[in-house]
Amino acid sequence: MPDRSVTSPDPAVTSDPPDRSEAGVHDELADLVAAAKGGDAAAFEQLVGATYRHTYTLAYRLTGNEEDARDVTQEAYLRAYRGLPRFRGDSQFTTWMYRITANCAATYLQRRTRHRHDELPDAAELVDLRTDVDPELRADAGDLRRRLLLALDTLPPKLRAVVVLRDVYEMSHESIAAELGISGTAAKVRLHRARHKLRSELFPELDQVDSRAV
Amino acid sequence: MRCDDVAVALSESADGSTPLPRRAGRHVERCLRCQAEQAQYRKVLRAMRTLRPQIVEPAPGLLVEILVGIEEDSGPGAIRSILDRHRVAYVAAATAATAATAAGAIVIAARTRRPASA
Repeated sequence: MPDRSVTSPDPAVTSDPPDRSEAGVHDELADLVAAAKGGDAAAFEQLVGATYRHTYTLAYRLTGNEEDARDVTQEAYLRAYRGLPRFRGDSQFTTWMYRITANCAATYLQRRTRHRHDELPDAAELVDLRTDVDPELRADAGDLRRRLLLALDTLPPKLRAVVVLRDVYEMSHESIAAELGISGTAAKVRLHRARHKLRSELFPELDQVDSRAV
Repeated sequence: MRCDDVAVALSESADGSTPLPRRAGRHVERCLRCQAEQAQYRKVLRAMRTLRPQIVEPAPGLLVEILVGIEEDSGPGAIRSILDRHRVAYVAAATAATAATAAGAIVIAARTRRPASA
């Protein structure tokens, strides 16, 4: 039975089993990729089965809700299936899937933003999740990770995408820029803004101190 | 040099990929505020890295939805055998659940009938 965290704002969070060797897992996936490229449908199914929870997790972190994350995950595997013959194996399959997922999520969120203006009801209840605004949430937010997840939710999607891909998934600036369809400079600017906002959200005290010349 | 002048460099250097420029480094060495800010960026980064092994569990059925989506897009036969296996498992589970519910209903009905006949 997985150890589910009851304090996380995520719907249901589990951890990867620590006893599985990462290199062993990647070798297994590489074998499956080779078989799937050779037309083995069962191998592709196993690839999806072995990776879809990780892909969904990234999609959830990028979109911020379950329904969008499901759509993005489905779209990502569809693109992976179509693009598998062109996958050269320069990177690991999971890294390739993360790049596809980031690209799908960016496209999805752009589309959603265009429609959102029409769909947002006048009387929509807007909940402010910033812990410094809502004292109850501040009291509940017992640990840094929990507060971090709340702070991530308050970031605009464009900033959230960059900081999640860089600081959680350790993607390169170049890959992030390529998958999000932005310049390398824009990716770095967004990363700085995102990190600054997260830090200010989690440690607001320091920003109240005036800058001083030294 | 002011704290504001090193703000971007502090954030960029948080993950170690971009070293602090020499002038910024000299400022940070003498500025407690910037040292605190640097430490906070590192704490945030460490917390971000702890999210990597965390899995957000999808609601059941996503795997089948993904495979159905691929089959619909790629035409029948692409992964038909796989889906058939999943469907068989799904139908078997649904049938077992229905049978268990029916059996439960029969047991309850039998128990409630007994006192009336006594």
